[in-house]
Order: sequence, then structure tokens, then C-alpha cells
Amino acid sequence: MTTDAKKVRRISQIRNGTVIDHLNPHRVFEVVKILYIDDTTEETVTVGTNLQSKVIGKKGIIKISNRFLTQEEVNRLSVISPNATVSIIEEYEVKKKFKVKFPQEVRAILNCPNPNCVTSIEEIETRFKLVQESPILLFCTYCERYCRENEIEIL
Amino acid sequence: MSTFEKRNIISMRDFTKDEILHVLEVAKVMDEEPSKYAHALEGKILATLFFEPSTRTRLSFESAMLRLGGGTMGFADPGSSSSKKGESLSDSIKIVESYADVIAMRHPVEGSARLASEIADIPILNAGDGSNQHPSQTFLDLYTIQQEKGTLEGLKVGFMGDLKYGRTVHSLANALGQFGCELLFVSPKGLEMPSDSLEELARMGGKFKEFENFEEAKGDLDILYVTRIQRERFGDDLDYDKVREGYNISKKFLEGCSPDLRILHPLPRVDELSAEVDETPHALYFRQAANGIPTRMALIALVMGMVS
Ligand SMILES: [Zn+2]
Repeated sequence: MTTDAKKVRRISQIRNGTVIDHLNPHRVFEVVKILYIDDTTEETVTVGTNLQSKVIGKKGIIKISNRFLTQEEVNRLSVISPNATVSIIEEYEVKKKFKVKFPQEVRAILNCPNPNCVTSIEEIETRFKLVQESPILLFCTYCERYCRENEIEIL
Repeated sequence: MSTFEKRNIISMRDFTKDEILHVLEVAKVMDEEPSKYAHALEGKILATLFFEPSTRTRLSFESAMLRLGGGTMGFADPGSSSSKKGESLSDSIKIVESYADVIAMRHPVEGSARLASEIADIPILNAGDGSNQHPSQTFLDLYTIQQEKGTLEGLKVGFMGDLKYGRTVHSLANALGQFGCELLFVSPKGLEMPSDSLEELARMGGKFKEFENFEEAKGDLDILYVTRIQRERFGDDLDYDKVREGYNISKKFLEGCSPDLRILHPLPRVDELSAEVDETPHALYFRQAANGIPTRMALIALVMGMVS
């Protein structure tokens, strides 16, 4: 077992489920929100933040038992934590490992920073197009404003 | 090029270069042979929904529809619409779409026209959504430039005045950038082109430069697009007066410009453009205003499928 894997164990090991690692430590709780984890969730969820990471300094980690996230679900994290890695665990073994990918269109999970945007006023889903990945640049389909990483806000 | 029938005219960003040129071609036909289309839209209704007043734009849309033989209805005063009573825009659009065949709308909220187009089955013409887009204005500006210069390619175009809040400037500059024009932006400190607009221009390979005064920029300009600088933009009247001096276009101010320089202004003007310029060959702004009719006729006829 590698040292990295040992560390993960220390937080708590899961038998079956998903481990999201290398999360931006400042946005872990927003990730929780995007994955629709709240007090109605029945699965066991472990959330860790400000953990030491050799790769990115400090990091966050989320473990969800008995839930297997799909690539599509995971991609929704990309706008706030583009470096996250995802492992699907079965019987304590990593069955699949993947990185988040930017979707070409981000729907419903972000607020438009423009207070005079129709999405801030009427009850409709927000929609952003990805213009650029690094640094992140999004474009609101409605008000046509650009939105940078520091302006990105989860609904 | 996709067909224009049933399309919405929401943002210049929705149109390719070829599509823009096609609209201008149809505008030219409407300009030259309006009588041919005088009955084209008989029995059809244009609803003008102006949630924010703009008399000239509304009259221009209505005149365009009447010249195509159609009828118009609508409201011009937000106080008379149900939005004052708290009705959502979505509901207003759903109701009106059963009354009309095409809608021209102006609304103070950015993105409202895009939303309306997603709700309505009939075409929506955006007549201005907050500080975002006003595509019929951009099309008529482009039409005027093309008509005067014979082309949109490779011109040297100056923009002067309030470039920060002037929405007509942002989308016109963007379109001209696509046609390979060289853009010169002249504005007082604090009213420069927004960095987002400049970055977008840069991404598409547009050529542009920024200036603080016209002297350095005027050289061999083909077109100068002037916008109003509003007193409200300045905290201090003294600052405003100082700026205004350098941005007042008179005959003297234009000395040293190319005799072929043409001036555009989305009107109404205050004192940034002296009346004495009107009689010079430089003045193109009244023709520009008149071009609103054939351009809007073209847009309406295209989305109604009356011309292809
Ligand atoms: Zn927006």
C-alpha cells in the first residue's frame, strides 16, 4: 500500500462507494452541495478538508458509501475544483479512477454574478458555456457576461 | 447558412459572417424596392412589447411592419403592462404569443429576450435587453457602413465617447472585428471599452488600439462612431466639463481627417456632435437613422419566411 493510500485509510475506509480526492479545500462544502448531499442523505458520507497533500498543498476529500458517481455527475465539480480525482471503490478495491472533465455547458448549478441577469430575476435554470479551461472562463447564455473563477458561485 | 425562417434575432453572437451579410443583402432589396414587399405580410401582426420606453426604436419597428403590409399592436409604457403587477416575463410572453405572429421586445433585464425566445413559438426580435444586445441597431449600423463604403472588410473604424456603457459599441465592434477591421477606441479615463469586450476581440484575432484623445487616432479613419457621454457617469461636474471639451465634434475638430471620413451616431445626440457638422459630407447619422426601416423590414421578413 502506498503512503497516499494509507492516509486515505486514516480518514476512514469505505467498502463500496466513491472517493473524491484532491478537492480545492476552499470549496469542499460547495462540492457537497453540488452532489446533493444534505440531511436527507442516507448513505454514510465523510468530508475532510485542509488535509495535507504532496500534490496541491492542502486538499479536501469526500467519501460516499454505496453511491457510485458517474462521470457526468462528477463533471459538475469541474468549475470549482478542476483538479479533483474520483475513485470508484468496490470491496475496498479501486475499480475505476478518473479525473473531472469540463462540460461544454454548465447547467443549473451556478449563479450568474450579474444581478441584472434574467436568471437572477426569473425562476429559470442558469446556463453557462465554457469558453476557456485554464483559467476558467464561462459565458452566461442569457446576459452574455463573462464569468471568471473568483466570481463563480454555487446556487 | 441556416434558414432564417422562425429564427429569433437575439444577439449578434448568434450570426456568422455570411448570415450577417445575407441580412444586409435583404435590407438592400427592401431599401431599393420597398413597393415589391408592400403586401408581403398582409394579415400578420407584430407585437411591440416595450417594458422600457424607447419611442424611436418602437416606431421604427412598427413602421417597418406597416411597410410590409402587416399590422402592429403593443405597449410602450411599462406602467400599462402587467409586469408592474408582478406578472413574470414568461407569463406575459406566453399570453402575447397567441395574439401575434412575431414579437419585438425591449426589456431592462439582460437575457430577457433569450428567455422569451425559449418560451415563445413565434420569433422574437430583441429590441434591447438591458445593457446587453440590440441587434437590429447593430445590423443597421453595419448596413450603413457597407452602403457607404461598399464593403465591411478591412476598414479603419474609430469609436469615440462612452465606450464602457455604450452597448451599441460593443456589438458593432465585435462584428467589425470579425470582418477584419482595424478598431481605434477613443474614450475618457473611466469610460474605456470593458476588458471583457477587448479580450473577446483579441481571442477572435481582432485588431484594435486604445486612445485617450482623438488627435492621435484621427489619421486615415474611414468611419467614426460617436456615442454620448452622460453627465451622470461623472461624480464631479468639473470632470465632466473637462472631458466634454475634448469630445465635442465640430468642423474644426475634424480638420486633418480624411475627406472620406463618415460619422455615425446612434442618436439622439446632445452636444457631442455640433449641428454644423450636419452639412458636411462627413455626416452619415441621419441616413443611419433612416436605415433602421429597411434593416428592420429585412429582419421581420426573414424570420417570417417571406424572403429566404
Ligand atoms: Zn447572466
